[in-house]
Amino acid sequence: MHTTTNARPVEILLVEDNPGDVRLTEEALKESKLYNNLTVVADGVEAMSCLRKEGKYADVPRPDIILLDLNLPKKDGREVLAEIKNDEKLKFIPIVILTTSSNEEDILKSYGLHANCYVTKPVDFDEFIKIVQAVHNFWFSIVKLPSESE
Amino acid sequence: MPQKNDEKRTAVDKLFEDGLHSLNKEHLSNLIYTIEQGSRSVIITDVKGCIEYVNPSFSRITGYTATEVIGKNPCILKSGETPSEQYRQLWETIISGKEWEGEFHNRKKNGDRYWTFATISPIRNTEGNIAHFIGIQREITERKRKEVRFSAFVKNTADALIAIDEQGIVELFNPAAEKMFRYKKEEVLGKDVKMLMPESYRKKHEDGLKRYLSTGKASVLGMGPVELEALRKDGTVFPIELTIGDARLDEYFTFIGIIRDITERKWAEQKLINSMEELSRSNAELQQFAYVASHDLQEPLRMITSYTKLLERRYKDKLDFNANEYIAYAVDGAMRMQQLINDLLAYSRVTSRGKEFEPVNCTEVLDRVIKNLKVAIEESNAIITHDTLPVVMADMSQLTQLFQNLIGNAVKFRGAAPPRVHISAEQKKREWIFSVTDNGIGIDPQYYDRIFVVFQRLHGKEDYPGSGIGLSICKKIVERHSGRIWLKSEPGSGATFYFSLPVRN
Repeated sequence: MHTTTNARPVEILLVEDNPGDVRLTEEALKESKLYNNLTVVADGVEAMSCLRKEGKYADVPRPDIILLDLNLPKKDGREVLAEIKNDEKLKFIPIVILTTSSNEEDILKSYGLHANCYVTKPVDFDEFIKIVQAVHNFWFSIVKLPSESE
Repeated sequence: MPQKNDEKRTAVDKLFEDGLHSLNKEHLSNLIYTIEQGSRSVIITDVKGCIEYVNPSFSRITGYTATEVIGKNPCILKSGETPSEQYRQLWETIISGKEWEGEFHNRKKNGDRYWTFATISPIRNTEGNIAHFIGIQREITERKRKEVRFSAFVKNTADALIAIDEQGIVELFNPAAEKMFRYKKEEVLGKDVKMLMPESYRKKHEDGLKRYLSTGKASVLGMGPVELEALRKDGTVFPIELTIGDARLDEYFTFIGIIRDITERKWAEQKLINSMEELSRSNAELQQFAYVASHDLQEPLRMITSYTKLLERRYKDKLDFNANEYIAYAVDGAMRMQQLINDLLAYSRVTSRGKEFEPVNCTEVLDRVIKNLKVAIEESNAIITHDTLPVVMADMSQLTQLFQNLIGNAVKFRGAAPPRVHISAEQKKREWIFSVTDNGIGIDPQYYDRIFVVFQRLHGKEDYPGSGIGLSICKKIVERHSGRIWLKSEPGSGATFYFSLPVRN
């Protein structure tokens, strides 16, 4: 399914505080047989450190896509989203809001902060796999993204 | 009546003899004219009180002719209601040579009673001795009536009435004021009205009074009631509503205060404020609950379903039939829980996510609903018809949901025949009455109330799926639009659901 021309893995940053959800995402990625490298951080502060390659994240490659939960400890997903989209270097990275909330306000606010898409986590695991697959297909097969050299 | 003329002459002669010698004849005739033609009743008696002269006004007022009263004592006019003490004082005063003034409650010849204001003066002869008494009276019955009417108001009103002079000295303190301030009238009359005010209001009152006296302007006058506080005898402070009026009569000023004890109202207002705060607090809590339900409750639920599913995917082959059945039940339970949460959320959103009302064309709403229900309608071969429907003030998406739930139910709870659903609307007074009539299985009247309660179902899930939220949402939507919802049905022969929406301009 992985169709990028060079054979490097897709770098995914998952910002998620619930270990259950982290594991589910890992399992879903495994089942979808995507060639990927998943980095997981559990709160908004860590997420920003990681993206700015601070401290222990110095060697973590810049992600190709960010899967971002909204309700996070320390710095919540909305703040992380706003910060990334205001950062000249980071704002090109597609951000998928992946959250349990189907709250209208959350959806509006996220798009208002320039989220690239908003996905409500499905109850059904089969559905979740389909979504992970779809997100991957859309961002790495259909959409043309700027090259990393900028 | 020659006799009367004689008497008149006699009396006037006597007056003349007794000391009016400085008057000339012209003066005298003027005086006689005044007495004879004047509206006041005049009586002249001797020193013993025997009537010697009465003028025509006396006869007009009392009904007695002069002849009837000459030689009699004025006590023939007594009604018996003027206290005898007053007569005693009167005699004491005039015998000692002074003038007496006061009111009498008298009786006319025909028995009617009347009030007069009398001035009774001794008349001295040339030797300086009292020779006669003259009583001049004015009928004041009409004024007395006004007085009693006024004092009945003052006595009986539930509002405290207080009048003060320009110095702030209390001149009137009615029974309601006594009750409200717990002072006896005697303790307040003649005192400064400040004694009825808490310390913090006294300066303002003084300044206001001064300003009024110097400029004629008052901030509280004619402003309608103002809310203040007042001070009781026992030192307690209570909230009042005060209306102030002023009255002037030449140099005389008076201010009247109409005071209403508003303790009860203040208490009720506070109670209302408290309940409003309580209500908004509990509403905020409900909002919070809705968010918790939409997010926090679903997360653990998702963990349950996702991991049981994952278990099933990865281990189906390694587990036996029973284990797989258990997993299926666990997944089904979690899914149903999810549905219930979503339904509750939809229910709570009727109020929390309600939109402003706008003119909504019901025919357009119905077209949309029919499109939304296309699959169900086609599958059941349902025929949906409708009359001309009005434009109403409503939340468009909620009205859509309302029609969709009712028509959806009409199609869902069908009998053997293909469903026929008819929608109509009729204006009755200030309401539109909408009806959705079907030919379905109907509802037993004993369940009419129950079907509108959240999660109440009348049928097994195998026969008719659903969580039982639809009609409760309908009810909540209708009530949010200030309407009612009800139904008529006979089991087996269909049902008609009605709802009303106010006609708005």
